Amino acid sequence: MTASAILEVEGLSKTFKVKDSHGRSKVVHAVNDVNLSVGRGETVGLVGESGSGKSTLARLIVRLIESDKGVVQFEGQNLQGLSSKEMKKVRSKMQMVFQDPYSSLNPQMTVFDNVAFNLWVHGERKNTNKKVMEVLQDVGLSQRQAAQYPHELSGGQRQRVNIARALVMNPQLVVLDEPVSALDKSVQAQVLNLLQDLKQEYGLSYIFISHDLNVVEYMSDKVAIMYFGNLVETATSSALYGSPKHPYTRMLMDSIPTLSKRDKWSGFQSIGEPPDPLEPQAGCSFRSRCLKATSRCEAEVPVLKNHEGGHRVACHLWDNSVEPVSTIEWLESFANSIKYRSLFGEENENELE
Amino acid sequence: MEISIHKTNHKEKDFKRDVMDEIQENTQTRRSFIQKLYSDPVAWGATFWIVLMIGTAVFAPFLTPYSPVSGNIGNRLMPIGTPGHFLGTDEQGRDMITRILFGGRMTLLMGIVPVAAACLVGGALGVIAGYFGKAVQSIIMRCLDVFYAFPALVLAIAISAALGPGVRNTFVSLPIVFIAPIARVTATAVQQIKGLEFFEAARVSGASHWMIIRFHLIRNIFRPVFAYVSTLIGISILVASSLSFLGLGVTPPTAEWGAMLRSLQDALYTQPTVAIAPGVMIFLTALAFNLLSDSIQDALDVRS
Repeated sequence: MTASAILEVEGLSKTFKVKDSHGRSKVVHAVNDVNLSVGRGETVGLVGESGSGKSTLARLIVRLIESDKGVVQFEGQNLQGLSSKEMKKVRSKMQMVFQDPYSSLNPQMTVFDNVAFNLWVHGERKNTNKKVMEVLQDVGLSQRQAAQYPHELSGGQRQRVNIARALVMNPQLVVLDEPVSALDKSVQAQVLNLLQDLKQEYGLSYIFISHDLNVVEYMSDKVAIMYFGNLVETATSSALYGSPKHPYTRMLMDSIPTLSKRDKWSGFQSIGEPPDPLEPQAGCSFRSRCLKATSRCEAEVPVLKNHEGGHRVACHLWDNSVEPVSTIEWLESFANSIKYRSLFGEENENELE
Repeated sequence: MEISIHKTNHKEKDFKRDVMDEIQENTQTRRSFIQKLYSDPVAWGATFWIVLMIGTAVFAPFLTPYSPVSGNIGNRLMPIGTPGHFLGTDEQGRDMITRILFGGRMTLLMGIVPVAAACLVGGALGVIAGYFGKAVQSIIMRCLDVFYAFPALVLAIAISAALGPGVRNTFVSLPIVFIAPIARVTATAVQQIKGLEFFEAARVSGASHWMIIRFHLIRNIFRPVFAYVSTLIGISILVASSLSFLGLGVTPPTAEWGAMLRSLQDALYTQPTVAIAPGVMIFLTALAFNLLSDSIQDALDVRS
């Protein structure tokens, strides 16, 4: 592991036993051999569809659920196998912010108590008032709101309380599990900016989980794309958004609705549904939705391989480190984009006039 | 889009004082539990009746010149309004008011004590069953399912019959009857709360099971469990009365409302108004407990 990494995840796997509609017990690979590292002061974005295992991964990292295989190292310390007493010490440095601002606060406790609970847990009776009120101020809540109950607050304010609860212990790493996806767009922006500011102020590292690519681009230094329990592509934010490599990533990029005319990654439009997790297919898990799938993809599971710099992709098409789109296809898409531009460009101009 | 965070740099002392003032101010504007109950007329009525019953039960010997167990056989079954015996007399010529005052002692005990005991045991079992996962829950709930094989009254009769008649055995049989339903209601309430994210948040913070149960669990299941348990007080009075009625609870000549109903059943045709008086008392007292519990639940709701 690198010296600057605060969290290092190696070969983390988790399977769940479920029963299918016929009552047969099946195994679902929720998280499959995931490797991830988070540097100090870094924000790692984790993107994936619902059901891709990103929330499970988050819960594995903070050890809300036990993993089957793999290692989670926090500040060089392996968390697996720690006793609950040792784990408690680690927990004060590693916190989590949850998705749902409504169910993540205890409705019977005031905002103050909800935040102070974390201090009580760690036996900190001294300066509880001061610490809680300071952190509440830092997240932009007034002293008045400290004595209110969660139902008296808006969704955005509740999420601020959630963030305050995570920060009151002065953590090093905060796992943000879709912290803004339940909020209105305008409130999202406020909370995201708040998170950015707090990161500077508290010297935090984030794992930022979201299905919203725009939000992840805004927040993250590094991005990991997750599909079906596997990481399929990891890169720095600029590299990933500048030149996505994995067909799934391109499909996601193409599905971002934009007002401006973003270039489409030709040939990677969204098709099909994710496969049934109860009946996993052999080979690449994405091949049923991939227009470029070959016979090799059916037989062989692709692994994450390094390409230029830290850009890693799990795709057979990239084995030769070249663009897997043929020249003719590229020309076609280029011609299409020109056609598009001229058509819609003129219309837009007319509208503006 | 940029949000500015206003940070006021108080001196530490000022800051602390401000915070405490603010919290105090806020708690003052928020109506407390007692204030909410105070403004509820139903709560007043129900409390008045329950306090009256408890008071008269405690001070029964000072309130009546008659004895609850011996009467004048010549004054049998006097109608309501007889001078000296306002509610009439029973089949042995004992003053009805005296019997009802003394009977209230036993009946109130029968209503509150078994339910309180069952609540402690059943509540604890329910919390353990709901909180500690599927395996524990299966073991506890399957054991308690045995009690569901019988209707409450039949079960109480069976246990009392096995233990023999008498007040002491009633205090054993009644809690046993109520443990299973209380445990089930509690376990269900726990499970509903357990799936919520603030539970996971508490675990991420490293809280022990006891901390989670104390701060997050009990506060949130209190209302639904209390709502159910308070209805059991009325039922407990009725079941205890039924046991007395069948001769399994209180033994004559001790006064108890259920036992009085039984001994007066033959008088239903001759003095119906006197015969139903203990029944009216049971009804009113059970009603008062239920209404008070409704008011307490409303007052406990932080949302109101």
